[in-house]
Amino acid sequence: MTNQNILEVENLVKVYPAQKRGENEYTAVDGISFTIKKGEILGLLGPNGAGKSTTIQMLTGLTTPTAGVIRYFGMDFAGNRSEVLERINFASAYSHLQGKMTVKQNLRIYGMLYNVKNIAAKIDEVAKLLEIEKLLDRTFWKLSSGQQTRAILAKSLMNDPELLLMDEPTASLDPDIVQKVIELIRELQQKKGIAILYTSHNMEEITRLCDRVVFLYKGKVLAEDTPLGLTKLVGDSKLQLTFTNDRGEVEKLLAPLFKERGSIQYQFINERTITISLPEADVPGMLFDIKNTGVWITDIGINKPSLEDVFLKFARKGELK
Amino acid sequence: MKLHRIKASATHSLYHLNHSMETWVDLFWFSFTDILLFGLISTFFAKTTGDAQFLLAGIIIWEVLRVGQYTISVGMLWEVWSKSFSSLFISPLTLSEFIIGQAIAGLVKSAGVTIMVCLVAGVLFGFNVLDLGIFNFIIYFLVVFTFAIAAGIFILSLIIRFGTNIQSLAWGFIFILQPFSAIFFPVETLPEFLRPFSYLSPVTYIMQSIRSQLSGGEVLWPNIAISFTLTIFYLVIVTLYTSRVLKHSKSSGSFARMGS
Repeated sequence: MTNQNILEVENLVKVYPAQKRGENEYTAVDGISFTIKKGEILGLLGPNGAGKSTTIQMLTGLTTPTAGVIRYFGMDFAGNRSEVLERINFASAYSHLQGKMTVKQNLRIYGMLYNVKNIAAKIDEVAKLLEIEKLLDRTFWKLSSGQQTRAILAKSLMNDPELLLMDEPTASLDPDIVQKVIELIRELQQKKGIAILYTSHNMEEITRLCDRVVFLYKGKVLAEDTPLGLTKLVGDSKLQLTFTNDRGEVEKLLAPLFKERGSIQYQFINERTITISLPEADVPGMLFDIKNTGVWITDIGINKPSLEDVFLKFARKGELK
Repeated sequence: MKLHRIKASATHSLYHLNHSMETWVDLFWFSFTDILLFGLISTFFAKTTGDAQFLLAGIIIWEVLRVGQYTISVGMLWEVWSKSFSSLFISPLTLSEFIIGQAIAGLVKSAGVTIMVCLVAGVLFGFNVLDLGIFNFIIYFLVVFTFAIAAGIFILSLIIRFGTNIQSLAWGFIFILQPFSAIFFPVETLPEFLRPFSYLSPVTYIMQSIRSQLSGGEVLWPNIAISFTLTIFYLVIVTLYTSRVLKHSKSSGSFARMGS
């Protein structure tokens, strides 16, 4: 285990065999490699079909890799399944607890499965942490989506995992509940120092939570960086200006300025609003220059590139790296 | 294989039973109505054609078989329906630990159902199963229950292999054994070309021994030995098959898809 890497994935490949005669085999994951350090939150990002789910399935032992190595805590996963799974856990909006049993019964079962020494005390601890004390005696199916998510999170903490794999844990939750869950995950990570592998379609969640992001596209790692680093790959900010002058006048006034600055991309959204793409550092100078042209600005908006822009750019073109 | 995980699987099954009206109906209600129906039929036959207690003995053995296999195969399906399949198998629990735990819970459920049907048979229809000898009956029960577990594992492996499209087999498959296991009638009742199939079922030999006892004869120990040997043979075969199916389904991705 190097640099306290909790998880090391090397050249992981998954080729699904053809389902029917005449069909081709399908490569879902194509030689990906990444690591997770102790206490780190790594985001796994990518459009549908990028290989996120297959990667998670291989990391949890539900699916066998075609090639490559998965190493947890310096141990080969294939040869140490039980030892590894006792030290990690999993939470997903799509993997429920047994619906007909109460939350407490479910937690007790997982306490037994993970060989927790004092199960009753552990249930009390996680219930308090996730504020589900009043839900313990309720049947899982009768809980709301937000309550179910908290119960699933409680289950995922029963064994004090060193690594938590989270596959879209906030899917299908209302935005206010998502906020709470994100805060809760952050708090858990800070309090307990758990490393987290987090997959989501929600860019804001990834930006807020993750220290590092691995972007998957068609089974390959397309980019790997901090959320901020990834947004720099997209490049320009968008400066949106609303003015009192009419469009023709603005075009005439700004034409020399744009010519002077080279190939500036701009687009009129309507008759009195223009969007200009330019590097973030050039925004103040551009505003100053526009003011001097005589264009009367009434509103200014600056949209910095977000992870969503990165996602869209990668997903649409798959062009980087 | 860890004892605490087997205990968790067994406890899981019993907790589930505690909350599942459907399982209570499938196990106890159907068994109750079956014993009631066959008790009345045997009473009618007793009045018209002679003693028909073999029907009651047959239905008791049948319920042991049905409940045992149901526990294993439907036990797995409850996890699929509840979307808790992934959560369970992402824990350190192995499929073999899950099955052994379910089998232990199945033993408790089968024992409960058997006691109930035996009581109904005794109280309402005067059929005392203990007349077969308590030791003999326990042997019959254990051999048939073990075969039920083998049948349950086989159905479970088919579900893992082919998915929930064939989930109705979890209830329906066992009924194909009913006419070929000499449960309600001797093997000789079957058309001659079908009789060899009957001798492939371990239940046939148990029922022959029971029928011998009910006719005033002895326990047929050689039959019990054949039944036991066949049961162990099937258990080994289905274990090997399930292991192969599990490996295949983890490779093809179908195991993971069961949880989604």
